[in-house]
Amino acid sequence: MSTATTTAHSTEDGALRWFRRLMWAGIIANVVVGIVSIAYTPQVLALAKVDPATPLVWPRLSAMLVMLLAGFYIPAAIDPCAHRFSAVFAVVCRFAGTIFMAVVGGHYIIFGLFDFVFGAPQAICLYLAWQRMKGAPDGRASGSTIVALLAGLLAVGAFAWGAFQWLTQPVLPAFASDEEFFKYGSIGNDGAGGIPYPIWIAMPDVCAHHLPRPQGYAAFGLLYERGRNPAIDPPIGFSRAKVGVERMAINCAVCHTVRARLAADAEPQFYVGAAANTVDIQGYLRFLSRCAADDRFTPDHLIPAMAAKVKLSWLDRLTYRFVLIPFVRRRLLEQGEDLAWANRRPAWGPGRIDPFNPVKFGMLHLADDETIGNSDMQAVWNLNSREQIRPSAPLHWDGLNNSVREVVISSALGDGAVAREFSFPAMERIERFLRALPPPPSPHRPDAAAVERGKVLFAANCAECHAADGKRTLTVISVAEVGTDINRSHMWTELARDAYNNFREGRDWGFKSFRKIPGYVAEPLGGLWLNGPYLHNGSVPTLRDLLEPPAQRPAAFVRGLDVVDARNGGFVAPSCDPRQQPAEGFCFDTRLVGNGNDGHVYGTALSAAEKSDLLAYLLTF
Amino acid sequence: MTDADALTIGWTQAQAATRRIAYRRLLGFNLIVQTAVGLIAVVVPVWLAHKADLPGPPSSGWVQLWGVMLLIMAILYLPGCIEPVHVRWPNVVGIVARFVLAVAYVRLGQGLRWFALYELAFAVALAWSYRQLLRAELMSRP
Repeated sequence: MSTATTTAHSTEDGALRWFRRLMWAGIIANVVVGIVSIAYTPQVLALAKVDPATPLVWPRLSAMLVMLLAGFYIPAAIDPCAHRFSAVFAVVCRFAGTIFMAVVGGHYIIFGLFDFVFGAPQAICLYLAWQRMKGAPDGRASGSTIVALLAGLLAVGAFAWGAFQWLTQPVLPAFASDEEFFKYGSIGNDGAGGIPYPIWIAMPDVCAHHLPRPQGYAAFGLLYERGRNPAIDPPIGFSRAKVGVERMAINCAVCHTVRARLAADAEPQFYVGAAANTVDIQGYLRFLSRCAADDRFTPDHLIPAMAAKVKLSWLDRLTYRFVLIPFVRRRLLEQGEDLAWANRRPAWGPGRIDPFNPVKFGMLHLADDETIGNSDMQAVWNLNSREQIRPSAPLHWDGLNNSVREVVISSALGDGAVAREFSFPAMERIERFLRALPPPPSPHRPDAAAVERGKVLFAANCAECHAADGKRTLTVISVAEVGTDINRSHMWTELARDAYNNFREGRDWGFKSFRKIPGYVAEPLGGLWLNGPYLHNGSVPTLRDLLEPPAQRPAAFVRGLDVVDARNGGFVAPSCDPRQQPAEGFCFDTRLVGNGNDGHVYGTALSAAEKSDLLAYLLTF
Repeated sequence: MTDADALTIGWTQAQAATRRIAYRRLLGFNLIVQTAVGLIAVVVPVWLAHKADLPGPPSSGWVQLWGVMLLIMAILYLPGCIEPVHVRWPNVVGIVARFVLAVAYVRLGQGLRWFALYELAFAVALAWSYRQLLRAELMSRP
């Protein structure tokens, strides 16, 4: 026997021997994983980070099937030559599992990686054994080895990709109620826009000098429910999800939940779906970028502040020091630069936002057109009843879309949701919740006789546009007719409409309902008592002021207070001097561009007594 | 070998062939149904969970996982279906697996009890048919 033949035989034996060993290893692994998964199901689910299973018998059934499948692998493990079909099918099935789990995605990819760990080397060994058994002439063996090496490298790369996918998939907490999900659930922006939780809770301590008041994030009007610790717990409107590390990201509730007190000394109440009145989103975003630019945004300052609130392992400390803190700093600075255009426009102030210019200039990559879209945050309740009033009722202040589904999804995109993390079920859950969410009834109890008289006045002066059966309710009224500040309407351009309808970027679906209609939507009155300040830009503090001619409406008033004004409608909003910001709230100046309080003069010509009666009626909504 | 012996062997071989065809048809039908259920579970898990009254409701990922494992099991069964006499292991494991699955489905309850009934019926039928096949094959070899 020649040396070459001896070598070939020993290689053949080696490849087959390794294939058999790997087959047995796979069988044993299947059985062990199956038994452990049945015995310690919740722990295994947590370790694998897969969806919670209810009932637990589902993962247990899967575990049992994994063990049963191992039984089919045994012939190939005993004698792959005698059971060639079984050997090939065993490898094929490992790959089928891998590919399927990669397609399903999410954390299920861990099951695919499990199959891949055995399937890839098994396939390579089987290939080598097959090549040798074919009796390839000398020289071909090295070709097979090269193919096997390349396949091995490819396999390592594929495994690394899968492991990365698994590690960076969000781990989202489950919420039993839709309301809790709305307040604290993820909208798919945690990985792309979330700030690592330990850094997020340390920032108010490290950058306290950048806060308007020494109240942590509450200084920006963020809402903390009773029993929650503002030092460590998320406020309403923030999700806490794990994407590699735990992260904090905003959700819909940050702009659509209001805190209200019926008196200065009353316990605050939270109303989900209402327009946030106290939240200063721009102030919050500016704080983040200012803190990132601060000399104290360093591992030496941040890590002790983080460690005072959360437990950090030595590995955590190293990761934060050399990777996460520098990375977060860079991202926050970039975010600040991306929003620099807003510094050339009037401040939003609490309860207000420019919702679409960030989308235009950021997501849609349109040029800065100098428009100002500052507007009051909007209540988002009762979406079903809107459609009962008028099918395909317009949404947003200017009715730029009339599809609830599209508005929910596009709002999530505007808040930083990305295709990779996007979840249609989450969007559908929010939509379902908002469609059925009724506005809270008014707590005001004005004089009944005045209310009756006011009802008549309402029918004569307001009902056409604001009654549930008004013929123009939930239609877009032209700016020329209503006369209110034109900037918000100008902000939404034909260019933006087309860009959004054509926007895909990583998705195989898109929008089709964005449109441009110059004007503002005539809204129905549900929840009116929580909607102040009034008009689309929040430029009129109370309902009583809205019944006055524009020249007599307050030129400057304090926004962001949460005490309900039972006499005038809306929230308590004392006059102020914009040159001197108040200790609490924000002095809103109607003389700045985009803040104008002109227009909507309906009812302003009524007598003082009639205005009181009409106001009494309006206070009941 | 006498003419009578030759006739007897010919008859037993024909018997074995008949049993083989019967077993393969039975198993083939079973695997087709299993593949169909697996595909439905993979493609429309929520619909299947609703229609079949599966316990839970489970997240769609778990139903898909169940479906893909049914498909993999069907693939691994194929060598046994193609050569039931020479490749006995998948057939034996498959029959045992059906009994085990039947018990598991009964324990899971709700709509899966129908699956348990199906698996049990086929486990018994396949076991009986396979035993008949092996006996006939044995008798066909003097």
